[in-house]
Amino acid sequence: MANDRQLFDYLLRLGDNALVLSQRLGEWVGHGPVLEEDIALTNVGLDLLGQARLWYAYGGEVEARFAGAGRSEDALAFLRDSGDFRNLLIVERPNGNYADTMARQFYFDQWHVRLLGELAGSHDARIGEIAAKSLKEAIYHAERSGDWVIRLGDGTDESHVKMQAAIDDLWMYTGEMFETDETETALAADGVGCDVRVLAAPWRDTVAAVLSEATLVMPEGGCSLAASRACTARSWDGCSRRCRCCNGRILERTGERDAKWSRVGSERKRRQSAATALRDSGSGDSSDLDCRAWHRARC
Amino acid sequence: MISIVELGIVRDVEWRDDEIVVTVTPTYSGCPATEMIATDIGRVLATSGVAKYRVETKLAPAWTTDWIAPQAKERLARFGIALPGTSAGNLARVIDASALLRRRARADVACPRCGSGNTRELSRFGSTPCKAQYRCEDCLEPFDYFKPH
Repeated sequence: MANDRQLFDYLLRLGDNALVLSQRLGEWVGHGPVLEEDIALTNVGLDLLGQARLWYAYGGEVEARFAGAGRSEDALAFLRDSGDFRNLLIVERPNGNYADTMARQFYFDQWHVRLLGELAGSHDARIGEIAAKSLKEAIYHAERSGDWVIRLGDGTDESHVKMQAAIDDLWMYTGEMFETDETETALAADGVGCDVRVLAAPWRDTVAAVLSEATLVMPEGGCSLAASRACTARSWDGCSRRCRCCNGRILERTGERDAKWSRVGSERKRRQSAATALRDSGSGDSSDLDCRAWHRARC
Repeated sequence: MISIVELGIVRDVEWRDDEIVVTVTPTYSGCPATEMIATDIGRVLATSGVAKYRVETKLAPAWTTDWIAPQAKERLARFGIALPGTSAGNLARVIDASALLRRRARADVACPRCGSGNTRELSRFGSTPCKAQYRCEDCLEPFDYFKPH
């Protein structure tokens, strides 16, 4: 039986994914390749911002149940330290070029529609309502990002190369989408949350079909959690995206990539626990320490 | 003019003791007009002599273009905004990869000005979160289309 703290944490994850991606998309304001795309990206961002507000509003109510007082939407969105955010790392990735933005959106949307589809049947009525509302929007986003992957992939020589590079570069972040933990499995057991592992196979099927239509090559290696956990390679250089041993591009080496997936997931947890521990001990400036924890996790 | 009742946003109005409660369902979760709509509801109630009121948001069932009243659809069309017949958004369409792969898939959207079916989607998003941009290939006029939702 999951408790309110776990439910609160879960709602923050849902809200943080939507908020952070929404802010990234907002960076495109005034910079879109054409006016229509500028408007479209920010509209997707606006939908996500609305969804984040709904998750945070509910989160604040749940927090009040165990903490006496719950934080407002704004406090949850703006007044937490970076280490307290629970979003997937893929939504933080910089916008890059248009192919990068669309690849990020495509991977996320395909995951998001399935997650919301599951949550729409949640035993927690409020989660079900928010998910059902958000699902309609997410479906529209997924159609659009899938369409763009196909148009750019099966477009000009230049767009094809850029789209393939974006698909390759972001692939390693997709593993985290299907990693679960105690909070999630407890909520899933109650029929409140979703165990994201069930989303992996259908996600992969659609991604494969779209990439094939787009004449793009699906990056090798599965989203297999077992594979990533089994691998103990530690040669990943996060800055140059090259293997320190052989200097080969990491995406060409399945074992290394799997190791990275595993580290991406644990990196987030390390960041959070390091920030919490340091804040609790009352030493130092937390933003600075977040940074150090981040680098420690990477190197 | 189209009212928020005709748009299907106002779901219920009822007295609870000495207070009037207006229940609204947002079109899109991030719709920036939501707060303005709530303010306008208060203003109208105040001019009608209602002192105590509350605007409640209800998410389920989610708003759909099906809720737009028939007479409102006609007026929107006269204004140059096309509407879908019935809402078409469903998860099966995205889960079914073959549907997603229908490139340049387009709804059967008639031009609100000349009635031609020869129209093209310019962008999946338009001037507000609830609309997309289309253009008629016959009369060449661009127009807004309420996203099927």
